[in-house]
Amino acid sequence: MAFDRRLTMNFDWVTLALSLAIVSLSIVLLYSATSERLEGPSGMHLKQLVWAVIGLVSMFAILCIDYQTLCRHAYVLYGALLVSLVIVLLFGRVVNGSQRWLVLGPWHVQTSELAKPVLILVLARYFTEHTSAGTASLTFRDLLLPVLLVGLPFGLIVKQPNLSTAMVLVVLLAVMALMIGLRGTTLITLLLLGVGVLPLAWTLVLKDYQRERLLTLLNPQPDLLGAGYHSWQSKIAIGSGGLWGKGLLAGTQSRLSFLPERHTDFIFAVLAEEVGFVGVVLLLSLFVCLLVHGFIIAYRSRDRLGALVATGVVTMLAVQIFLNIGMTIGLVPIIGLPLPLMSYGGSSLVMTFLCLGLLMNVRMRRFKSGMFPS
Amino acid sequence: MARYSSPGESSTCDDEFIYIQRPLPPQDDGFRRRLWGLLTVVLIGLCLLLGRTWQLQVLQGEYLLHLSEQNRLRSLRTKSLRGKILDRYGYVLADNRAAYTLMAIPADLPPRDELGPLLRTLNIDMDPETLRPRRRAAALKPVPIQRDFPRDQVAYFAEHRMDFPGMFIEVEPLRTYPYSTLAAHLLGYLGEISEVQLQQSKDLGYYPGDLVGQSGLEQVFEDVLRGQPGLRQVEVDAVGRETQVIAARPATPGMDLVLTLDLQLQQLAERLLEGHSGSIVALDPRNGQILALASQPAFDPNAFVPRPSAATWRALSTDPHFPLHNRATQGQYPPGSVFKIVTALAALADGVITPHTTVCCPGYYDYGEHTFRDWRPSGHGCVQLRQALTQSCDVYFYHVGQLLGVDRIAHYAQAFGFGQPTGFAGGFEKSGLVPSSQWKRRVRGQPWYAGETLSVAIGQGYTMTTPLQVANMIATLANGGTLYKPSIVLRREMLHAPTPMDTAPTVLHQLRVPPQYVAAVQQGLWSVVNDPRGTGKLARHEQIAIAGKTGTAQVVQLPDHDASPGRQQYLPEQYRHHAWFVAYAPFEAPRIAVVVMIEHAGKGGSQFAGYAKTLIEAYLRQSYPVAAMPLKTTKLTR
Repeated sequence: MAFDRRLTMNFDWVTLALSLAIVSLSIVLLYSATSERLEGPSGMHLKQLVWAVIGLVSMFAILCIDYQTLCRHAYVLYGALLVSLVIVLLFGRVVNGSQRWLVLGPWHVQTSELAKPVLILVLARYFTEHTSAGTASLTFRDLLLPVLLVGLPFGLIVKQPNLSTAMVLVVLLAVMALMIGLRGTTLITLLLLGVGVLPLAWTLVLKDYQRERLLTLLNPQPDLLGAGYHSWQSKIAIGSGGLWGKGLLAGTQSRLSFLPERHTDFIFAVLAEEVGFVGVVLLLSLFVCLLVHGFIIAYRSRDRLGALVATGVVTMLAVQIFLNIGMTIGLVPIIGLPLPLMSYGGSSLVMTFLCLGLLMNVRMRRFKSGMFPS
Repeated sequence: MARYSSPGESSTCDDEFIYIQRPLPPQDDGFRRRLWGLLTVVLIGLCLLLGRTWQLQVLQGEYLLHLSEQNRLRSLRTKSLRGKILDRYGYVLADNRAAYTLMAIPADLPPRDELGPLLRTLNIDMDPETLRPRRRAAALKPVPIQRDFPRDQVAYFAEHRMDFPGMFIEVEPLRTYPYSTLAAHLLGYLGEISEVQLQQSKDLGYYPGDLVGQSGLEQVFEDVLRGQPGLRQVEVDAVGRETQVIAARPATPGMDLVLTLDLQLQQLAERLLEGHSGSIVALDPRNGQILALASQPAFDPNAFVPRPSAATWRALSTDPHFPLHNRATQGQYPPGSVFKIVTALAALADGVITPHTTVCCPGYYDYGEHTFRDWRPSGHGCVQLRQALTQSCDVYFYHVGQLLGVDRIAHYAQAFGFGQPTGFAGGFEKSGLVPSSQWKRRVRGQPWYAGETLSVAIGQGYTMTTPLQVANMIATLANGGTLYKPSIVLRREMLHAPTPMDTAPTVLHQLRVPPQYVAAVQQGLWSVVNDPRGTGKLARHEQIAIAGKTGTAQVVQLPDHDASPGRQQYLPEQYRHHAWFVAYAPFEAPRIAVVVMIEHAGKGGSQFAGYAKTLIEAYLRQSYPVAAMPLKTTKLTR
């Protein structure tokens, strides 16, 4: 093998260990959340275990390819992504009114999840190519292509409709652009533009149920029967867990089916109810370690491309963690975003492992630049 | 040049070179500074999450635990007020009254051995086992223990409510029918939802014990009348009493049904039927609207509120005259001579006869080895179509039927709506039977015998019709050939909403028969009533031109001497003839078509022609004899 020995020496055990710890916690909770007292476990935790193995395999697969090579082929991957999104819109399966799933034999794949790693690579490449260190900040013209690059998958994903995933992509673009640096005037113009566009988005883009959820956040009390129900039940579940929790398999709110979607988007509520604040601190610590570790990787990466890839991954994780937990505790409106590594769902889990694979990839190759030894 | 990928990929090295030319360390301080900023933002975000969770779990933990365990949150439903049913002028036929219901939430009830004695202190004798929820999810849904809970018991309960955990009193609207038996079959009644119905209507939010329409219009228009139940999210304490209402959405009342029915005509029809088993149907021939639909004997739907007592139910269901049976739409009878209208029109339309074809009637008709009798043994002499109808000459129609053949008769019978449900919306309906050679081969496995055609031609034999179908037939003749779908609902009205348009009539079929032939048959029916020798002279009115046709339907094949009218009263009731009389008026521009059908009358239809006259006169003049029951003037104010 023409494998550099330093690659194995620099293997990122921290990321692996942290992600495995979080997934293990998730599987225990899934076991608890989906077990019926009368019927026993539902087997969802085992399915998730299978997905985790698939995720790990893909993570290792992506490690074997230098992120520079990956970025060189980013536009090919991007093309494949667009095709897959179009296919979903044409032939996808409709669940709960959204056409998000592609049925491949026994697998139901949410191709929109793929957009996250692919756009991280595409944007990292674009921003690296079009700026040089320390000099120019981004101008409008520099932003045109990235906006288009994000805009296409964004449009296709909104059409499904899956607004929350699409929004993550926009945040990704914004953060990565900010990391490169925007010219002052550009930044201000963009902000003003944003303020102008918001009311338009409110009326044109958002669906009724989405508007209702946003309003609910501002004023949750009046509509506990409709849009506020999830939020209220979730808060009760979390709060009733107290400091130490009610114990695994003993959560009443989630068990008596007060809490909908408990194993997917509301897994955090199950954690908080059954393992209490202690469990929440544990999970948040694991996430913080993972994110900080990601920041260190970005900070110390060999080149700007690596730094951008790492930043993209960290941003993507942080946004999803914040929005998902935020919605279960009533800080942000109810949106359908999974909690990375925790929520039930194969596509999301495999995608998260892929992104972590990118992160480890950057970290493993930080010493590899022969030309500019650090 | 560094090589860190496989040597074979040297051609791609230029690209890699480009990236490597933008190294991060140590020159890219701007990037690093911003990285710090991003980290700060992320950490602040996570701190927010942690802080909020701390607030929920530790600061509010006890309160929320309270909510989740002892003080549970309940979604309670507030029932919607059921829509009223009104006649076309706004008289209320089905209304709501307030009543108390003792309710229970099974999950909060005391154990079984305590519950029995507890219920007995409220004079309720009930097996506590029946209150046990069948499914776990149902344990939190309130179920009624007793509806129409007596007032003094309510007072007692209110004073001692601490002793009755898990129970509460609910004010629940119950149905009331101000005119008791009036149009009972049509209106129908409510009953507790069955397990099967609960399964079938899973998404509609019914609870066990809900009262739903179980027959008639109440059943057919359940979704319209019911409205949308409201929801209240309440906090309840450990024994299930409400301590706080957290949120509420009011119920939307159901829509009112305004019927095409004319209350006073309906009342008159039911009074005429008193003492008989039978039915009267009145239609507006211009649009198929049902003006009256009476069936006797009837029942009082108030006896079904909230549920019939065992004795009432037994009496109703074992009564030999089947009072629950809606004779107007579910009773099937041979039409008798009324059917001659169809035979006549079929023969004219198919060119088998002209209005002037003459047939001589000696009082019998020899066909093959059989002799078919005329109802008048002495015969009617030589008659043309008009006299044949006027005197209801059987021999004339035996002859015509034999010329037509059964299948052509069947064709026209179907064109008049026989042999299929009319599609009127008021509930379950029988389809009747129009025999044909094909039908007989299929169902009986036998060929059609030509002799049977003669019976069919005069409305005997296999032919079966419902009074509503017959009414629709005569209405079709009256309006010149348009078969409407009989309608019963004029419109649906919502409180505080503008009154919508009346429902437009639906045309089922348009008869294609030259108008002079339709006129010829109509002339015949005019003579039935107005000719001195007509069989329907009792319907003759001095000012109103009424046209009609009598019919007498044999129930069983009888020996000659028993079949004669004079012998009927000596026969057991179930063998006696049915009597029909159909009529419409005014002759020139008909506005009402009436069918009177009396079961086992033992007399010919001509004896009941007067009933039709009474109805027609009252309706056209809108002057009714003093009603037996005082009219309740709860007219809608709009």
